[in-house]
Amino acid sequence: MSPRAKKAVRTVAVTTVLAAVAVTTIYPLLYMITTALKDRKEHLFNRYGLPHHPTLANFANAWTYAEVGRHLWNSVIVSVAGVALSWVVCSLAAYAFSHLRFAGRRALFLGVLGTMMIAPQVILIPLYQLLIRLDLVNKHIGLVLVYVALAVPFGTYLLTSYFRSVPGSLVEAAQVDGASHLQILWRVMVPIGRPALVTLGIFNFLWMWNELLLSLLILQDKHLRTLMVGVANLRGEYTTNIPLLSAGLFLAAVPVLLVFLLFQSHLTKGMTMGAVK
Amino acid sequence: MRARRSASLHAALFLAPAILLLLVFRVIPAISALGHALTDWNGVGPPQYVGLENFRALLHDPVFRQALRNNLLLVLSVPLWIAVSLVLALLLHHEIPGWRFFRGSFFLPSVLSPVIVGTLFTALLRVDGPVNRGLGLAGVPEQDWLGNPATALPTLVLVILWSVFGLGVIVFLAGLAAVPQELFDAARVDGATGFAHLWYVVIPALRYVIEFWSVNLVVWSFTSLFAFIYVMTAGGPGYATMLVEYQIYEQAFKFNRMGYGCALATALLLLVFGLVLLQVRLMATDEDGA
Repeated sequence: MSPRAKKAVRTVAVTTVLAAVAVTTIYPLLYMITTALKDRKEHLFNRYGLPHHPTLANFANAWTYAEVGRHLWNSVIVSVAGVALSWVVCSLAAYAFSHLRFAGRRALFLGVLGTMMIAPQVILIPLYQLLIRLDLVNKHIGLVLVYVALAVPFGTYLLTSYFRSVPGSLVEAAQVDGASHLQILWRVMVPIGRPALVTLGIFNFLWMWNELLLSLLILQDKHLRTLMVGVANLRGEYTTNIPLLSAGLFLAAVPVLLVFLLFQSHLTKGMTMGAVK
Repeated sequence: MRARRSASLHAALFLAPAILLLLVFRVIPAISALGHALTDWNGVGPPQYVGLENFRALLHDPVFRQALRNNLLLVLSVPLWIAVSLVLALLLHHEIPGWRFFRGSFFLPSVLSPVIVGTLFTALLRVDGPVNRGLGLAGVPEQDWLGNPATALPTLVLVILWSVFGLGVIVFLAGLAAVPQELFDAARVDGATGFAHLWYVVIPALRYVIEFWSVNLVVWSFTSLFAFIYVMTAGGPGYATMLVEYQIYEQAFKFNRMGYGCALATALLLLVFGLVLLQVRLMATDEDGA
């Protein structure tokens, strides 16, 4: 075989393997969407084909009866507040670690990173008891504060390494001109750290939106529940109504699918920040 | 002097929110968990000090043993997760036409919540669902994949693999991009192909990335699977898919055994810590030997 033919054969073989794997990732989502568009009767008789009589009734039912609409709104409140507050808290801490001199800076920085070792599962019980005593159970702010506390170590680490790239002389010059530290943070660090801030925001949004365990414990009230808790319960209530379940799943996945489509390159870059130096 | 004092003051103010949040919602509960592991506590009344009683009970708890066994089986499946991601990353690395599409489609499942993935797969894996139908075409008899104790855990592992292998692909692709192309070219000239190429050239070149990713996966397998278990099996059938992190939740919030739950949590903390140390150690010795 000529080298050229050999290369062509290899390309075909590689493409076949990759396509086979891609089918396994895409088919389940396709099944979810086509099933959501069928009514129960069609789902019985035409389980695997495209819908012959597409209907949006499942989406409407999921939205109102299964309260997906209300839960979606709760999730938006919690994740948006969580992302915004993480930005503020991590930026302030990162500024101190990168441009303010104080005793014990390195030790404190390592301490902040060290708290990453404490997984939520490990502290679940005392955390829950503490939240009851602070009267933060069944309040959105309770979940938001816990999420931000989980987001602080990595966010601070990431932003500190970005802010460090700003030379100290620039900060001193700005101070001589009468700028306060807060102004320097806002006018100098934030614009320079924008790529890191965007990546951080996307990552925090995704995990806060997708999180189940803490949300399940902290927001028990039916009206305050986030979407993932709502969807997890949907499964129990509508086990036999697969089309409605699929519609609920699809609605719950839409925000992350949008983030995926819009920010794929940010995500892939962010994923590898820790892996490759 | 004045400038320095002002910097310290500012540092304290800037760090206060972060430190306060970490102390209140992570450090203090962690210390409290260690303390309450030594008590009998239902969460309502005052905790009763019982010494190491909970840990003694732990050693004889058949559910905990089963959970531990399942967790260790998950850890043993990590090489499979690494291998799948690595092979796919190598195939993508050739940059055949359409590789960006494939990379995107592999990455897609990992942005979905375990709640969505788990629920979707319970529908797909039903006895009358598409998975059985597809396998039926290949002559495999119908199975209740998640309802049968023999198949529940392997099935769960495959669903979890489905949801994360794309992250590994992305990480390994970045690792491959950082390897100088000359290294691969030189290996080819030396006649290293196929498996030899993978074993003697690619894996050593990616050692640190593989190490980083496997430590991640091990920690993750102990601490991030709650949602999969919650929506797919609730630890069953029997205790076939019980994991330590799910047992903590069940003991504390279903049976109100908060003290015992804290003992389980302490065991989990030590386990993860120990395994990570061991893993880093093993990989470090590897390097000395080479």
